[in-house]
Amino acid sequence: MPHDPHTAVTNEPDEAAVAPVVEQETVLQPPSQGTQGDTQHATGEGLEHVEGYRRPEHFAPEAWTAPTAVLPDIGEASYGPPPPAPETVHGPDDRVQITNTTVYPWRVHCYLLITARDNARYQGTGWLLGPHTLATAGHCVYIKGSGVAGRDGWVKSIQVMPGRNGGSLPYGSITCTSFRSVLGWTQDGDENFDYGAIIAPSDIGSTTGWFGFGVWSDSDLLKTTGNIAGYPGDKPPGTLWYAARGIDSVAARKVYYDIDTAGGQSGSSVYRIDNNNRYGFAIHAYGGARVNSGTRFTTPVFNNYVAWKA
Amino acid sequence: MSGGDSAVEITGRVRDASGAPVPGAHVLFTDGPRPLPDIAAVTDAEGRFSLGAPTAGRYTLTCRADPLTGPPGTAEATVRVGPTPSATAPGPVRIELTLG
Repeated sequence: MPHDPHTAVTNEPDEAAVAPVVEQETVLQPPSQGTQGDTQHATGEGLEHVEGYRRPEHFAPEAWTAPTAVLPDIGEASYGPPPPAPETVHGPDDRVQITNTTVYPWRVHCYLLITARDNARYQGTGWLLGPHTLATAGHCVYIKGSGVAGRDGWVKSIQVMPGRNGGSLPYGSITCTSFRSVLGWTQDGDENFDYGAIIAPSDIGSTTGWFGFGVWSDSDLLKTTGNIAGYPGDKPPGTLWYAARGIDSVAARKVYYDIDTAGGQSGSSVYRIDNNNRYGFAIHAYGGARVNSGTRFTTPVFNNYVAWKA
Repeated sequence: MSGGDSAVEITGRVRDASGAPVPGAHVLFTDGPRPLPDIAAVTDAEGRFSLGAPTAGRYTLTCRADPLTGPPGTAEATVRVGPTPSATAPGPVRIELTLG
């Protein structure tokens, strides 16, 4: 009997830990700026205010007209011949380093040091979307198809370091062992369902704040400025980098963009800024030749994260 | 760290110019035959790392050492992962990276 690929699963033995997914009318989940430290205001153009940073290929978002034709799935195209190369930095490298990582929104982003079942170590990115819940890529919490005996499955632990800035850990390092994902990833390894969550043992988000998240239509996303901050492995380890650009295309379960990323940024928030509030609309997961991509917040994804942040 | 199909393991070791293993370095793909999970491997105390190549093709790996845990430096290498018969379990592709 086919399963619902959005069926939530967890590494915890108590099956009751997975709250049932209830279909509901889509609503935004609000952000919080936390209780500690300063908050940085965004520009009025959907960008973070970073000294000297200007969105590449700048254009007024309202100048966009959403295409009426059905858009091709660029991800599917990327898998066909001729095979593209995953140069995740496209053209000039637009990324800028963020050093004031104790200021909101930067302190929401977390460096992840992942220890797999076989003790192999990896690095990714996560972002707080509730007091004790981080969103990240499914492949950061559950390894699928590694080809290595003893590695596949739920990772052993993740060290979560909010707002890490090189050697500085302003909020410490939190050992997390409780994870969530969905059958579409853990059973099928389908990149359309490559999303997961980390449940922290403390309410670190109450201090740092968190991002909201929501579901938007194709036409709305196509005129949105996408913002990404994360921990790319090609930069000095543990440093936070930011870039923003428009959205390239959308598919039913994916969002494609040419915002520069690199290995280590899996799990980053792809977010928009509305009225100075930050809302994730995708979870960055893959680097591609012309565009990078993330798992889109659709209603089932949204509902799972609502349950996981409870 | 791939999707539904089993990957070929690219495994190796990062060393500094003197030949000593480099712990805590980040190793990632910067080029490959298809979109890849944007994750980085972190070397262990012996400088070892492992990444999964989900399909045959040419992969470029970049390494960046963490100056907090060892000598600074970067390295890059390209490897080719060949197609393997489906009935045969492919062995890992091994690579040595020396920081420059």
